[in-house]
Amino acid sequence: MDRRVVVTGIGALSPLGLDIETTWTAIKAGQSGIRAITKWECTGFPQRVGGEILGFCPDKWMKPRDAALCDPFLHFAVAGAGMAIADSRLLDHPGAGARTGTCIATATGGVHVLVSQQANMLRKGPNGVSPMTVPFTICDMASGYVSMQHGLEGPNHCLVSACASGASAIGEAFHMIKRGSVEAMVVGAADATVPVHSAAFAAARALSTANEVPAKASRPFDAKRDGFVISEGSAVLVLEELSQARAREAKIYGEIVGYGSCSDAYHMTAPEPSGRGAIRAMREAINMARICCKDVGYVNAHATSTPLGDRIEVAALQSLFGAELQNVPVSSTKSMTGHMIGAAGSIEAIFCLLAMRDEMLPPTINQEYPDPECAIDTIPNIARHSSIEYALSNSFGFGGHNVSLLLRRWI
Amino acid sequence: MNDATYPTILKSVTELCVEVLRVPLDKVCPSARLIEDLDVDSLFVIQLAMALEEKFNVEVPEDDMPRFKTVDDIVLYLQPKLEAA
Repeated sequence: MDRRVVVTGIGALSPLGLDIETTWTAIKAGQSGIRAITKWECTGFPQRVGGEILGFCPDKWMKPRDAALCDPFLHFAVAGAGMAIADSRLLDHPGAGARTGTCIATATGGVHVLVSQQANMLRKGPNGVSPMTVPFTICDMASGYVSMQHGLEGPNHCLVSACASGASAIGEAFHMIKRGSVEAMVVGAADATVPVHSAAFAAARALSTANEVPAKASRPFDAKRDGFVISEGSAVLVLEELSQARAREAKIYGEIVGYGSCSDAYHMTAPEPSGRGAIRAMREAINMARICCKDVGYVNAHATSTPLGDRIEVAALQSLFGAELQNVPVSSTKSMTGHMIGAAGSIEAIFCLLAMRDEMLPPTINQEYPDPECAIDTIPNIARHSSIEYALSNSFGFGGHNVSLLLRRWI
Repeated sequence: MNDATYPTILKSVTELCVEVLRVPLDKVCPSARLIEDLDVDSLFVIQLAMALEEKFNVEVPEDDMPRFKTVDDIVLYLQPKLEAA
């Protein structure tokens, strides 16, 4: 019998809120989480705006001694997972931990602590490096820490596909449950901003330099977009095999029904001009669900607000959906969250689920100057009431990763 | 250190334990056992030793670390080093 996979818990930290419902309320209101950067001195940086997690206390979510030393990406991951697990009530059921795995992705891992320990080493020599450096910076420790904290004894690993990491983690966990390797997965992604990454993305000319009005810097599809806005946070979901979820009468947010994943095999950072990889990923996800493009009621685009990337994604959508695209609203919630790097894919999958639950499609804000090359329905500036059954979420990443997830409303 | 008396060193070690291990002040007393009472594992022993080195400006060789079973052990270990300084 075909095993089905549903979402029974969600948790997130974003620049718009320290939990998912606060974040979602802000998204529906079309608010921006982008502000002037406060976490480091930005003099000399071409980009001085970002999406920061502020007012967050990690001690609530992990041992204070660990929180004092570990990387912020781990703070965010552990908090997001804690919220998702609590929301699912999965572990209220004896023995559930033994059948649950963990895959919390990250695009960058613990760079913040690594950089500070490198400075210690240069100042004091090798003996000045903390013994906690390795455990508190390695990419897989988000999954490792969460599995230890909650007693999750199933598969435990980390998946990295740059800005598609969160979506890839969900897609692969979906397959693991479908094939019967595990009954539930705690899955998502976390990333924390660090100055060196901001400088590096800026050096690659990937970031917006529109610093004057921070809330308007991230403007996917708009003619005046000039790059993405770096952001941070985490988003974690509990995926569960349907019969188990039903047996324990779990709250169900929606079903994962399709996953497409492929590579551009083209360039380290530039998207392939024809968008063939994006098209293939979307088509695979839609085919897996055994539906047609016209059945898709909403697309949460990857669209990061770069001139080239947004245009190629729109062209890919136009190529795949054809004339049907005029009936399919497409928005980029990065216009409000900024680009949460690895966590973008997992928080955007959550937004799709909540859009179907609340019958409210999130807008793309900062739509002021139409770009003829992005002439699609971007749900400009104001959320839209709409009852839909299927939502598609796109995530792409440096390295040529293309990932699409297809989610279905749960009634 | 000018004042290498047991109470003075104990006060400083206690402050350090609270800072590094993030344990409540009232849990740190001379007889508190690092592993059983303060939940210290092998990596945090090294982290604690690094902090002792920095705070007291002494060397704590790795071979000496296994001596630290209790807070009292740490204070008694430091006392002669600080008196000699």
